[in-house]
This record gives sequence, structure tokens and C-alpha cells, in this order.
Amino acid sequence: MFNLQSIRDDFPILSTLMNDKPLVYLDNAATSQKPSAVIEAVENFYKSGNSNIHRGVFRLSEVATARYEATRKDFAQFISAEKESEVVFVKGVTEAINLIAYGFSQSILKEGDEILISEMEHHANIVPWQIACEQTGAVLKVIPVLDDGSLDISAFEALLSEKTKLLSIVHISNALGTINPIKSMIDKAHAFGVPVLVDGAQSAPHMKVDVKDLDCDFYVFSGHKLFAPTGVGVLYGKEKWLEQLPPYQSGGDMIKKVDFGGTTFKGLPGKFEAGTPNIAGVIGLSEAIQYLQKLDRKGAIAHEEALLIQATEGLAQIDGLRLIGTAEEKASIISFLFDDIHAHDVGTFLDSGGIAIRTGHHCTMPLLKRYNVPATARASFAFYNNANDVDCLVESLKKMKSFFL
Amino acid sequence: MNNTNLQDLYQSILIQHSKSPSHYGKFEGFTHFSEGYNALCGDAISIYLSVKKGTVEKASFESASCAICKASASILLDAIEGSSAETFSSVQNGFSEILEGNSEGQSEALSAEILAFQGIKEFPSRKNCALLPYTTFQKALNSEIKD
Repeated sequence: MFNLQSIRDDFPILSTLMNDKPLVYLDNAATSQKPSAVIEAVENFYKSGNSNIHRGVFRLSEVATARYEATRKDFAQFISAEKESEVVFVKGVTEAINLIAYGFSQSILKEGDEILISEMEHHANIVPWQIACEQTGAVLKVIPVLDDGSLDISAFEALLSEKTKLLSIVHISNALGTINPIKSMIDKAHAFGVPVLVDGAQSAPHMKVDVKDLDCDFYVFSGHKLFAPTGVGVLYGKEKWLEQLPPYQSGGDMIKKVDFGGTTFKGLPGKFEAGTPNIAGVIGLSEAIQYLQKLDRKGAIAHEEALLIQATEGLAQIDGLRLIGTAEEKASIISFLFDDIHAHDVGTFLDSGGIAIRTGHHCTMPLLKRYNVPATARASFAFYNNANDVDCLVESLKKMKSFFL
Repeated sequence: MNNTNLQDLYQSILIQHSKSPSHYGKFEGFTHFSEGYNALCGDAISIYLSVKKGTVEKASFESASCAICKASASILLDAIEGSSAETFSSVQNGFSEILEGNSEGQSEALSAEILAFQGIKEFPSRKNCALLPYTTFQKALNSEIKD
């Protein structure tokens, strides 16, 4: 049963004031808020459980190690991965994609090979591939986006070839809200023997992710968008692919034996986790996924869809407001702009009423160039937002016009 | 921040300049030019200058930018056109002080329009919007196109 008021009570920040007004937090695509359970788990770890892991023979360290490794197992179940060794803890999606791009540039890519991404990718899924291509002579190919914000699937099919060494694609666009048809794209890529990396930064908070059902080769997550602390995330990779990639960073904890004559690395997933990890962050992530597992997620998804419909209809009533991204399949992320009021001014005006939205290019500069706009305003909703949040947004935007024009 | 701060930021004089900016549009025969870009918000501005014997005889800009950036450019070029490059340095220094909230002693040296940016001190994320025309103007001064 989806009980919105009880859920809102779980997130203490939602009852704070911002600029003397109740906070209306609509920047969930940038980062989500944290439930008390997550905040308290991190606090309690530092109060009574803090220790390094994989090292100590004392009880405190053994307990910390067990909790860290239990989270790996829980996360593997959360995404239906076959093996917990396929779950690598990282800082977030950016580090995960850099890890994979580095590995591909070292072990797989050769001159003339192709990496396929799309025009709607976040910079984190563009720049690492540009660097990998520069280093190897591989070529970056880009699937275009149609006017409504959906991918040009026929162009995607035409771009796939034997030269393609990886399809790296966002599941839900952070700037448009578009939900890409990744299951069918994965099937098509696999028909050419092409592995697929899915950027799940935006999808994991909005839908159940099942990597087994998708049959993706890599799927990457940022904890902070998933109601967990910042600085922790997960790289899921199929064992056969992770085995092929070299360590991304090296040093402590990722080795079996170090000798000046040579070093042997740990197996999966340890070879990718050099140094002391974000232990408290992983413990916070553990609480976040437990929170999500207790939640009526079907109810939460239906609620987010209702908010999306309410917001889309509300914004449509405002003269001069234009939506960017009107694909049929959308998550609760809405980008919009006015011809005569810059997004940055929209953001500052809304902030004065306690409403937090994102303005700018959303780390998707090539996408905004494709729409020939310098910046958009973006409202993104989580399951803890309510109808009043949408009303506040719409009413403030109506008042804004008389302020600026 | 509250509505008073918002009114302080968007003083009517700035709104007027953003809606009807002075010196807007490229002109023929400019001697100096530069483009500026604010990666945080996507503001983009081009500044065109005609500088002869150390005097900024003509100045104009084009931008895809927020109201603060546009008003800042309009007011800056109002202040500088017909003046020396040294005048720009003193206006720039005074403007920087205003953005940091140090407006004392600036009221005599700077126009009321430039002083109208005092409200930005409460909006740290907007300072770069106001500064972009200044940094771009400085780059333009440093990059002569032709004699």
C-alpha cells in the first residue's frame, strides 16, 4: 500500500523551510533526498561500527566487512544479478563508465573499431569514450535523437555493424525524461555480437531494474540518485566481460600478492576495488535498497506517473512555455523553457518561493545543441513529491511571467 | 532568500536593460572581438569593439543569456563606450567589489546602474552571470582582429 504522507515523513528534509517557504524539491534527477533510515545507518556506523574492511582480525572490522559484503549480495538480488561477484562498488556512474572505457581502451579497442552512443547521453557517457577513441583510434558513432526526444531506432539499426565493439546507452534521459527501449536495443546489439552498457543513473530510482531479464552486459548505478549517500555506486558487469577488463586503479586491497618481481591481482570483484572504499556509503546504500524493497514500488511508479501527467497538463496551460522532450515513454522528468525568460532566471525566481529545480544544460550539451537551445529548466519528481508540489510549480511559473515581462 | 532579495536582485533598472539592451548586435568594422561562455548555465556572449588609440570608440554585444548577464553587458558597454581601456579596469574592479558586497566607496566612482547589481551578493550562483560580460570584454581587449 502506497501511503504518501507516511513516505514523506520518512524524508526529514521535506519538512524544512527554504527561503521562508516549505521546500518543494524538484531536482531529484540531480540527486535524491535521503530517508531517515539511510541517514541514521551512516551515523550509527560512524558512532559504533567504524572500521576498515578486509583487513582487521578484530571483531569491529569483521562486522564492518560482513556488512559491506552483505550489501553486495543484497544489491545483486536487488537487480537480479546471477552472482554477487558481478557487483563492483564504485563512486557512481561516472566512475563506472570511466572504468569500463579504460578497460576497453586497454584490452579490446583497436583502430577502426566503433563505440556506439546516442545524442542524448550525459557527458559521463560521452567524454570517457572520446578519450578511449583518441587513445586507440576507435571511432565514436552517435545515434540521433528525433524531435520528440525519442531515439531514431532505424538510424541505430543502420549504425550497428561488425565494427561496433560496444553500445553504451542511457536507459532514461536525465534531460528529456525519455525512457529508451533498451531491451529491444540490447537484443539487436547482441544479434551483431555487440555488448551493451546501460547508464541506469535515472532509471533505478524510477523502475525495477532486472539485469537478467534485460540481458545487458553492464549496468551502472549512482547511489545518491537512489536515496543513498553521495560517493557510492555500483557497476554491474557480466563475469565474462569483467574478467576481460584490466584493473582501473591499483594499490591496496585489490591484490593477492605484491612482489618486486610482479604482482597478482584479486579475482572479481576485488580487482576493481583498490584502496579503502566508501564503507559508510555502502552501508547507506544497503539501507536505501532495503527501504525501496519495503516500499510498494508499483504504487510509487503509478504515483510518479500521475505527477508527470499533472505537471505536463499544468505546464501546458502556461503561455510561452515549451516542453523539450515529449516522447511517448517518459519518466517523471520535465524539461521546459520560455522564449523570453532565460532558464537561469526561472530557477532563481522559483527558488524565492522555496522551489528547487535544475537549470542549465544538464551535462548534455550536445543534446541541447541539437534542439538549438542554450539551457532548459527541469523539474524532476520522486515518489515522495505530491500534487501540491506540482501546483506550487505551476502557480509560481504563472506569477513569474508578470515579474519579468 | 525571500521576495525582498528577489526584488533587490532584479531591480527594475536591470529588467529594463535585459528587455531592451543598449549596444545590442554586431557592427561592421570592429577591431576586437571575443566570445564568453558560462559552462554552469549555458550563457553565451559575443563582444565586438572598435578600439582606436586606446579609446573604445564603439562597443556592442550579442548573447543567449539570462537577464542578469544581458543587463550587465548592456550597462557595462554604456559605461565604457567612448572611454579608455583603463576606464574598463577601474569599472571592473569596482564591479567586483560590489558583487562581493563591498559597495562602500564605490557610489561616487560608478553609475547608479552598475550599483544596481548590489543585490547579487545574496545569490552566489549568479555572480558569474554578471561577470561574464566583464571577462569577455577583457578577452576582447586582448585580442585585436585588425588595424
